Amino acid sequence: MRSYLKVFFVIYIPIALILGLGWHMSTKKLMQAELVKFESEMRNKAEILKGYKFKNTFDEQTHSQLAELSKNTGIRVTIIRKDGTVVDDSYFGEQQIEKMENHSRRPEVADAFIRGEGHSIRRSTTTEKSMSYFAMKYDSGLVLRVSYPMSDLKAIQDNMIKQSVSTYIFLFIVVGLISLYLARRISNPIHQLSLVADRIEAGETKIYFPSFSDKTLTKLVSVIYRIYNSMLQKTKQLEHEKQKLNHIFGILEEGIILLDSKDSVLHFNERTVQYLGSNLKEGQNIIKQTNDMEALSFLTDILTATDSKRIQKSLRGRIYEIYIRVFDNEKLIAFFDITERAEYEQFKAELIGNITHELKTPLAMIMGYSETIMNDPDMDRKFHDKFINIIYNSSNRLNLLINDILKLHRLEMLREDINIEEPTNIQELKEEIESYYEDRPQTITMESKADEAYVLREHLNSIITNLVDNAVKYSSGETIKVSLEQSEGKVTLNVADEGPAIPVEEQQRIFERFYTMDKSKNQHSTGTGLGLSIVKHIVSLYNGKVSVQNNKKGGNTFTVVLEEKKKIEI
Amino acid sequence: MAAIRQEKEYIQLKGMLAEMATTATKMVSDSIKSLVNRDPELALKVIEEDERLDRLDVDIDEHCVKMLALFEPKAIDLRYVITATRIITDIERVGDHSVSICRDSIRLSEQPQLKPYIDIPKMAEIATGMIHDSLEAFFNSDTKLAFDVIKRDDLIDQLNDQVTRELLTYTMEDVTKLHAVLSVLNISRRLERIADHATNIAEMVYYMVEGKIIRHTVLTVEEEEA
Repeated sequence: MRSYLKVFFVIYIPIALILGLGWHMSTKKLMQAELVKFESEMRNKAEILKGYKFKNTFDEQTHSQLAELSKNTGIRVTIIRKDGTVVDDSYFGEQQIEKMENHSRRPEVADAFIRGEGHSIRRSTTTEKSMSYFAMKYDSGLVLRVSYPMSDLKAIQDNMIKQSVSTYIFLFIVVGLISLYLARRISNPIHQLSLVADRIEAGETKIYFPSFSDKTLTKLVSVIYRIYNSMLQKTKQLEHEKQKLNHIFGILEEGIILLDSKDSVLHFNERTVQYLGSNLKEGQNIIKQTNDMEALSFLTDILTATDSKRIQKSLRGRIYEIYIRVFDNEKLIAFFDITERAEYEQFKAELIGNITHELKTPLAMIMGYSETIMNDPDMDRKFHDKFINIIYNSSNRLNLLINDILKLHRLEMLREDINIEEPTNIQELKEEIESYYEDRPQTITMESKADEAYVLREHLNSIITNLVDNAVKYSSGETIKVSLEQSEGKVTLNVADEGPAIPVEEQQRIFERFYTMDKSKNQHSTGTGLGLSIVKHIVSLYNGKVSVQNNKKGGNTFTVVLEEKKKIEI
Repeated sequence: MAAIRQEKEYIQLKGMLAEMATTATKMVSDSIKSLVNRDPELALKVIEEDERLDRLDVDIDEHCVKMLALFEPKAIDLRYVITATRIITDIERVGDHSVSICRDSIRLSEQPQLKPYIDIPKMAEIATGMIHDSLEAFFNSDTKLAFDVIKRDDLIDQLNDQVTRELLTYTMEDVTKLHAVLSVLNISRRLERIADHATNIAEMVYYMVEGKIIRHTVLTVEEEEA
């Protein structure tokens, strides 16, 4: 809009000035022409009045004629003698004429005496009006002066000015309109272009590009359009790249936070929120928006880093490896959850320790006692037998242990599909189990609502015996109940004892190899610590679940769910 | 410029408080862990941690004084700083109680097990929970949680009485175990004190958020629902 006005004024003001000047000049010219006309008219009148034979002295008849003339035309006629005294004047009476001062010093009269005629415009001292005078010298030596009041001329002039003013105003308006039109013609495309530029800057996507008749403008528009288009392509590319990055960030296992130098969050991914357990917003200081105590102290420790490094820290029982990269004014922090890895490392170390410990204990017994027997051949028979017994039991235990380890290893390696043609008879299995546990202090009962199940007999047996063995070993109750159900191709097995209950935090760990609840390994020398591991692996072969809960009797109930593996007849 | 600096100082204070809070809560739970697992090494670690707590206490105190002097905070900011100075003394005392529990735990681990602990771990769980929640309430400005903590204090007092009674009857039966009994008694008392500190912190949190002092008043139902 401003450019439009500017253009308008640029066009209009010079034209208007020229017009004004023209007007001024023309009115001046007109005025002068009018004046000249006036003068010649007065000369004509003087010439006409020559016809009268004016006398040297005041004459009543002549005076009345002149007065008549004045009344009709408004003209004043004065007759002046050579010495400057007024003979007659059409405006005044006889007495006044006699009182009139000498006129020889009046410029028009003086001129008339010298050159034959004179002209001047001035205030009359006699009539006290602005008058235009014309004096003429006659042959008789008299000077006749004709005069008009200027007010008549003024009226004529005013009239003329009025007319010319209205004409000029009309002209001004016309010129103004033309200028407006031109300004529009010139500034409109530029205005449109600037609008387009504004829209592009505002980042609008749908922009209308106007077409112009002007070649230069068309070229300009097409250039802008091309630039805009390539910009659009670039932004699309950028968006795409950003989306790709975000996607990558999103599926990364690591939690990633990008901070600026004031620790405000620039970017983060979902995983970070998951790890820190608090919602983050971009553009806010990370400490300010975290309200969780553990996460806070976890972060403050990390943020003190001034150079890139790698640290390990734990938060809420998980262990994280944290990579910190410090750039000039940004800081990139990546969290990697290494809990499982750390646990596995620890587990492996424990496993090796456990295996060696478990294997070494019976071996040490065997070695120690056999050495004693070797060194003392004449040993008392009673001791000898006892030692031999111990050696035998220890080697048995060693054998059991090795078998268990092998079995477990086999199960861990086994990943093929099981197809069972013949179902296992549950009743037979029940009798077998109950007879096997006959001589135990606890009463073991097994009840089954199913007759047969498509689970390998040795697997079922292994699960039940392992669970019952544990119950026998670790529970101080009277009874151990085994119950089996079957529905919709699933077999559910429960083994319940009467306590003491396994604490909740131990309930996950007991399925690990060699894990025995009491850390002091010598208290229960009966278990190999592999039983539950074996159970777990068998269960995984049947895509099942094994879990343990505390039951109402204050003991534990192990629940195993197996999917039956029936061979599909084709 | 001043505002930015002020912001930075607040953030620093928050970080320090979080460190102190987590240290103290970990000390309490570790001290009980050392007692239940008869683990004197862990107890010694906890005792070492107390130094860090004391150092933090002094640092935060100085930091708060500096902030009050420099920025002259108003309204909630002022209450935040004041609350910070007050709760750190509570947290510091909680650390001291944990150290005392650890000393007794070391002493107890040198003697045969008195009897399986049942109420003590329960008390410890509640006390640890209270400390944790009261500080959580502070960081989240959560008055509801603060009230919840205050309510739990009664439970601890009951358990403490119960443990005391039980131990008294126990000494009647067997005077030789008196030493161990005194240690357990002390632990129980310390846990009760830790719970009291948690209550103090919770009351301060309410003051910080609402600007009302609820210490030494009996809580009514309306207040709790407010």
